[in-house]
Amino acid sequence: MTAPAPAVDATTARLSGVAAWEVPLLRRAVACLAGVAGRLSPWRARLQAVGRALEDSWSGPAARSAGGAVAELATVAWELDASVELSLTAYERLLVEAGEAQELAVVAVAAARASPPAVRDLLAGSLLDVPLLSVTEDALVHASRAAAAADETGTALAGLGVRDAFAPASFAGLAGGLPIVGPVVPPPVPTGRPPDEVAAWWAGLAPAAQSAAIAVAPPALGALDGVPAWARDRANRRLLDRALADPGLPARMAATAAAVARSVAAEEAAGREVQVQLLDLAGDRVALGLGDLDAADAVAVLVPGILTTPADDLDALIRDAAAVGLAARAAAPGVAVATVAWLGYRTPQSIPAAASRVPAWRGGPALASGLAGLDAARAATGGDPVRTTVVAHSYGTVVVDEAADAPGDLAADAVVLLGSPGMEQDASALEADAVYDSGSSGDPVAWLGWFGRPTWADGFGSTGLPGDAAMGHSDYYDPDFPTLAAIGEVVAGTRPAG
Amino acid sequence: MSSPAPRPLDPVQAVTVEPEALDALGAELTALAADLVEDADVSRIAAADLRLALAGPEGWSAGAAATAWGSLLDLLARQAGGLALRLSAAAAAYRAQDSATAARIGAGHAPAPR
Repeated sequence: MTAPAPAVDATTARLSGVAAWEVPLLRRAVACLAGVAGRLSPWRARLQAVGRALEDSWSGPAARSAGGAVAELATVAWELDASVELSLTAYERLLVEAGEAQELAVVAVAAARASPPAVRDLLAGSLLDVPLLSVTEDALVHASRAAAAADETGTALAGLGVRDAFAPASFAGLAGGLPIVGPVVPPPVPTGRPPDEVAAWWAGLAPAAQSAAIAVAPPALGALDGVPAWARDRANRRLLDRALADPGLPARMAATAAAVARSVAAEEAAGREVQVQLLDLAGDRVALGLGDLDAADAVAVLVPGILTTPADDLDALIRDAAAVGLAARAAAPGVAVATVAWLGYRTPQSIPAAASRVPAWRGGPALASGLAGLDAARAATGGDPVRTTVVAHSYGTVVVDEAADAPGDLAADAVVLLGSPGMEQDASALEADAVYDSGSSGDPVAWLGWFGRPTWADGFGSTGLPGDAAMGHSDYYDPDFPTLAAIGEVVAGTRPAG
Repeated sequence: MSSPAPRPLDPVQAVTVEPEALDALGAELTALAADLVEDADVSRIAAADLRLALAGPEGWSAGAAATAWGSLLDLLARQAGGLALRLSAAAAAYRAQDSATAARIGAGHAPAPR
């Protein structure tokens, strides 16, 4: 009987080949490909922004043709992104399996060449406390899995028309093989999910599915934290148009809708970008963004206090938000700033109601979720992180207090407390990197202490902003006083804390 | 008898354009195309590394797929670059048309005697 020499030779040759794999070089190559894949999502986001800007700046038959071409490119890019992600997953599996296989193969090859006592020493000295035969088998199993993963790196691209490693010869060939044209089923909107899950869901939708979701579910989408600002704006504008055209709308809701429409029109007539981030007419809650929240380097969210309603006070809050934006741009001219006039809670409508934390209990979680949504939407598309500052006035500081109590860290880099009627704990409880305050000696609310310790007291732990004894409770955003410029520095990130 | 109310402009037929905005968007598309060209090169370098790192069929398969990444990114980059050129050309065409129209209107307008 003769030994099966050819099989042994083949095994030895295979093990030698695997043992020679250069895993560090493989790791470097996969890391490069991961970088390429990671940049596709922000690339698609920028392309979609081009498509939206095109709609705003050009209309007519030629514009529709150009818009269609950009939309087609965005859809192909989405398909490519999805396939590349699958391919990358296969590369990552290849890296793991090849690493295991190479390590085992080195041991197996060395053992096969060594004398029996040396083999024992080799195995004892390695982490592999197993017989030589098992080492060889395991090396071959991992090598086989590596081979399968290597094949999958290419088959993952088959949907893009890649055959035998050859991509289509032209963009038309690539697009022609994809299911771009056809009915789009609107995706179910994931209400009640955390902002980061929502953001991941949205980022994974094809452009056509995103448009369909905006078209069929504007109430859900317009209020959904984690959806990018541009999409919420589109959804809420649909709601606003419907509300303005509804003669049967209750008077209070109609007044709020009219106030929002007036503010949007006024800002846009002045050439400023507005994004409607919340339009909850039944709940009398509204949030308007000034600037592009999806692209801004720094965002300030203004949280107002008592006796503030969308119908009566939105214009004034927008003026304050615009003033903070101007101050931030003055502090750092190169920084893209956006601000939010946030009336995402129903403010107390009487002095007795203002002595209760109940409105803040409702508003705090909403604010926390909104801030987390801003952060998550940016992260899901691979965009640059945004510096977020919450600027709260009066009872709005109590809302921030409650927002910090919501599960998870407050998604804010800085908090500014203006004319606060007191905070439950110290500044560190607000979970922001830096907390600033201004409580003018001329502001009686700052001395009330209704809700806890004054923010200006020693030991609270905030950094005081410059003020003026002549400042009253409503003067913190007044450009004639020094606090506004300091708030701008905080928003821009140029004012040191402590 | 009252005159009929003016019909609203059909948005499908309305033509509005901001040539400066088209130029800016063309520039952004050019930048997007350049980014993809760069990443296509990165993919091809990775493909070469993969073939070196894994001798045999695994290296060939993994390298070939990475090369395909590069080819696909190139296709997108060329399309984005082509769109950029078309937007810039459209902006230039609108400007030229406006200048020509202005010249024709000006030519028919006799200056008032001094």
